[in-house]
Amino acid sequence: MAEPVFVKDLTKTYYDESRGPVHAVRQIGFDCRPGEIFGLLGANGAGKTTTLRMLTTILKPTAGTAKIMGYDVAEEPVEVRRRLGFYSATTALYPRLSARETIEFFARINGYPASGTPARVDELIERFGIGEYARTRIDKLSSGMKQKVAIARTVAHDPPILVFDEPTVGLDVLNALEMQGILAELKAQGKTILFSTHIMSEAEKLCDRIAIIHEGRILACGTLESLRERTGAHYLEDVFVSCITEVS
Amino acid sequence: MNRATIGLLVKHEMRMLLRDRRTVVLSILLPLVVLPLILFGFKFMSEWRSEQLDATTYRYAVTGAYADSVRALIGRGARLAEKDAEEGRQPASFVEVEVAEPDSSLSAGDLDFYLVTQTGAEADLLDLAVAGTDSAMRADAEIDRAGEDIADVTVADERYPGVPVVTVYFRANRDESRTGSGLLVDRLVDARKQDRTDELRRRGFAADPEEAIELSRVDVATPEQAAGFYFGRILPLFLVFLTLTGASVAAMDSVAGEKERGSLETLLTTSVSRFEIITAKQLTILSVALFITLAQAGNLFVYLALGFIEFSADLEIDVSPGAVLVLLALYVPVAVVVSSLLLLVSAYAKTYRETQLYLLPVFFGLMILTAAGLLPGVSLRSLIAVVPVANVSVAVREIMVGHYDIPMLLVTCAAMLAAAFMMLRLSSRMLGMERLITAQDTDAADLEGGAALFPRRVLLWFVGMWALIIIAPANVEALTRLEGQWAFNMFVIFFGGSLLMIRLHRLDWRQALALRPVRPQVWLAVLLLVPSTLLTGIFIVGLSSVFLPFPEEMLEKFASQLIPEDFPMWQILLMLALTPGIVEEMAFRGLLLHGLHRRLRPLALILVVGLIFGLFHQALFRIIPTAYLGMVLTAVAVLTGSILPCILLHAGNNAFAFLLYRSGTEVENWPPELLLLNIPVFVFAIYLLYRYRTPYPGLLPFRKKVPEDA
Repeated sequence: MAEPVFVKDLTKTYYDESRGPVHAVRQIGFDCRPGEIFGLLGANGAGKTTTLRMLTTILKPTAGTAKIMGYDVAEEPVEVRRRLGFYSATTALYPRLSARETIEFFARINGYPASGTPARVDELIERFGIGEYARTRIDKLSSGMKQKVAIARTVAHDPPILVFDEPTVGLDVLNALEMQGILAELKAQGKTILFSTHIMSEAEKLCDRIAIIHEGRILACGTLESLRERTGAHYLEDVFVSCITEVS
Repeated sequence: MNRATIGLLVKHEMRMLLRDRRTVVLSILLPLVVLPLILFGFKFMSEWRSEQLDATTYRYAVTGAYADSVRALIGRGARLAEKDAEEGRQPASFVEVEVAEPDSSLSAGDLDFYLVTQTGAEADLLDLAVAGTDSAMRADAEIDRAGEDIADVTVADERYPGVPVVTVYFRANRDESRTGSGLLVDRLVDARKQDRTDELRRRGFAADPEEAIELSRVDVATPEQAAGFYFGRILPLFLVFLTLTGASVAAMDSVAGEKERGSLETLLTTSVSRFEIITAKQLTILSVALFITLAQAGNLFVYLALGFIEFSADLEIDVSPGAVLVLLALYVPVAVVVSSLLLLVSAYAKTYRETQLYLLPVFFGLMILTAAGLLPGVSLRSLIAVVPVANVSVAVREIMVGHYDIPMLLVTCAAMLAAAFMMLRLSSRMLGMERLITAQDTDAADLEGGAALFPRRVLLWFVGMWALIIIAPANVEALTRLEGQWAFNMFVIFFGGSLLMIRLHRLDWRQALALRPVRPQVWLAVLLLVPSTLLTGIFIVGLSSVFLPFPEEMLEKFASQLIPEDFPMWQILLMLALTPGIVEEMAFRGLLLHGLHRRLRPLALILVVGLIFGLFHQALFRIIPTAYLGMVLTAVAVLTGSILPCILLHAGNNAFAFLLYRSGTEVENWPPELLLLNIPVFVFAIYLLYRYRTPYPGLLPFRKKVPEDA
C-alpha cells in the first residue's frame, strides 16, 4: 500500500511583482505514515502553508514530487483531493448556507454516497455538538461555532488523510484545547494527519513526528526523542532554536 | 466531467444566489420595477414637452433694412400654416417683440430667436468687403461681429447678386429657441415657395411648378419587412443590454465574490475539477441571464399592452413562429457568450470591486460589437460571420426581413459556441492561476502600498495620462496650438506625471528613472543606431503601408502641422528632439519600464512598452513607426539597464528625421534595396549592445522555466 504522504525535493518558487523571485519552499522531502500525526513546525513565512497548499493541489509545485496515497499532486489532483480533507484559517465557509447544508454539500461534492449522506451529517452534527445551531446560517454563528462546522465539513467525506494548516491560530485557549482533542480523536480513528503550527507546545503534545522548517528548507525531521538526541536539547523550543542556529 | 457533480454545484450556486438579497433585488426585482418607471417617465416627459411647446408663443425680433418684407413673408407663412394645420390642432404661435439689443435679449432669455435681414444691395456690398472669402467664412465674420461662439451655422451654398439675406440667430441649448426658430424657418420656406409659384403662374406657367414632374417613391417591401428591418437592428442591442445587466450581478458574485469571502479556496480543495466548477458557475449565470432577459422582455410586452410604449402606426411587426424559434436559437449562444465573458472577468478579478471596474469596458465593447447590425451594407455572408456577437446582430437583422442564410447561420452559431468554449477554458485556467486565487501576495502589496503597489498601478497611471492628452486639447483652446500642446504634453503630462508617480509611490528616483552609467561601447552602438533606427523604421513603415495605406495629402498635412516652416531650427530641435528625448524617456523607459519589468518577460516587456509609446502618438498612421521606435528604445534600456543611451537615441532619431525633412530628402522614395543595406548596421549596433550588456536589474528570465535554487 502506498504511503499516505510522500514528498521529495518539493520546490516552490514564484514571482512577486514587488519582491521578484521568492523561493518559498526549497527541495524539501518527508513522508507520513498511516495513522500518525506529522507536524510541520516553523515560524511565520517558513514555507509551511505553501507546502500544504501544494499537497492539497491549490498551488502547483515548481519542481519535485509529492504524492498522496500514491497519487501525484501535479498529475492527478482530483484523485488527491478525493482522499484528503483540508482545513485552514483561509478556507472560509459559505455564509448563506446553514451548518447542516454546509456539511451535506461538502460530503456530496467530495463523492460521499447520496444514500449515506444524511446519516453521516447527523453523526457529525452530534459528534461536534452542532445540533443547536445546525439550521442557522453560517454568517449568524460565532467564530467557535464556525470552527466546529469547518472541521465537520473537512471530515465530511471521511477522507483517510487530513491536512490542518495552523488550526489553532486565532482561537482562545478553550477552543484551541478542543481542537487538539479533535485531532487526537481523529488520529485514534486511524486518520493520517499532517498539520502545521508555530506553537511548540502544540507540536510537542500532538505530533508523532516533527519536521522543522525554516526559510523553505527542512532542517530536521523525526520523533521528538530523535530530535532531542540530535541537538542535545530537551525542550522543543530549544531544539528548534538549535536547528536554526546550526544552519545560520 | 461528472453531470451529477455539476448538477449539485449548480443547485448550490442557485441557492447561494437566491439567498443573497442584494443580488435578488439588484438583478431581478429592481429592473422589473425600474424599467416601467423609466418608460412611464419618458412617455410622460415627451407628452408634457409636446404640450408645453404647443402652448408656447415664440418671441422673436426682426432687424435690418429688409425687415418689413420678412414680416410680410412671415404673415403669409402663418396663413399657409393655418390652412395646412391638422384638424383640432392650432399651428405654433409667434409674436414679434421690440428689443434694442437682440443679442443680449437672446442671451437673457427675453427672446427665443431673432432674424437679421439685409437687402440684396447690402449683401452685395458685404460680399465685396469680404471678397475672396466663401460664404461660410462670411458667416464666421458675422459670428465674430456678434462676439458669440455659435456651434451650428447653416448658410446657403451660393448667393446670386441682388438676393436679400435673412439670418436666424437662435440658441440650440434652449428648447423654445431651437424649436421656434425651426418652425419659423419652415414657415418662411413655405411662404417663399408659395410666392415663387404665384410669380410663375403670373408669368404664364400653366401648371403648378411643384407638379412639373410627377415624382413618387414606391416601397415594394411589405410593411412587415419594413418593420422587421427597423426592429432587427434594435433587437440585438436590446437583448444584449438586458442579458448584460441581468447576468452581471450574478457573475460578479460568482467567482470574485467567492475569492473575496475565501470560500473559493475551500471549493478548490474538494474533489471537483476546476472545469466542473466553472461549468456550474457558467450554467448558473446563464440561467439567471436567460430568466432575467425573458422576464424583462415579458415585462416589456405587458407595458406595450398597457400602452406605456407606443409604436408608430405604420410599423407592423409580424414574425412567424419559425423566425421566433430561429431568433431564440440565436439568442441562446449570445447569452452563453455574454455569461462566459462575464464569468471570465469575474475569474480574472481578485475582488468584487475589481470586477465592477472591468465591467464597464466589457459592457461598451459588447455594445459596439452588437451595433454591427446598424452598419449599412454588412451581410452575414462575409467575415462578420466569425466575429462573435457582431455576427448574431447582423443575422437577426437579416432574419427579421425574411432572409435566412442557413449555412451562414450555422457558421454564426459555431463561432459563438467556439468563443464561449474558449472563454470557459480560459476561466477554468484562471482558477489554476495562483496569483488570482490566493490573496496573500496582493494583500501584502496592498498593505505595504507605495512602491510595492506601483507595478499594479502603473498602467492605470498611463491610461490616465493618455486620456488627458486626448481630452485636454479638445477643451482648452491654447492646447490646440503646437507650442501649447508641446508644453502641456512634455511638462505637465510626462514630466509632471513622472514626478507625481515617484512622489506618490515613494519610489527611489534613481531606480525608477534607471539613471545608471553605461559602458563606453554602448555610446558607439547608440551613435550607429541613430540613423539606422530611423532608416529601418522608414523601411518598416513602407512595408506596413502596403497593408494600411494612408493618403499622401494627409501625411503631408500632418508633417507641415508638426514641423511649421516659420519656426527657427533651434526651436524645432528643442521641441521635437531634445525635450521629448529627455522627458518621454523618463516616463516610458523610466517609470513605465520600471513598473512593468517584473510583470512581463523581456520580450513581452519590449513589445508592450513600445506599443504603449506608440499609442501615445494618437494619429493612427503614427502608431506603427512610433511603436517600432518605442520597442527599439525599450530594447536598449533592457540591454543597458539605463535610460541615458535611450535619451541620446530618441533625441538623435527625432533630430535626424527633422533634418532629413528640412533638407527635402525623400527617403521614402529611395529604392527598398538601399534601405535594406542599412539593416546590417542596425543589427551590428544591437549586437554591440548585447555584447556589452548590463541588463536592466531584476528582469524576469526570458523563458518561463524558473531557475533552480540559488
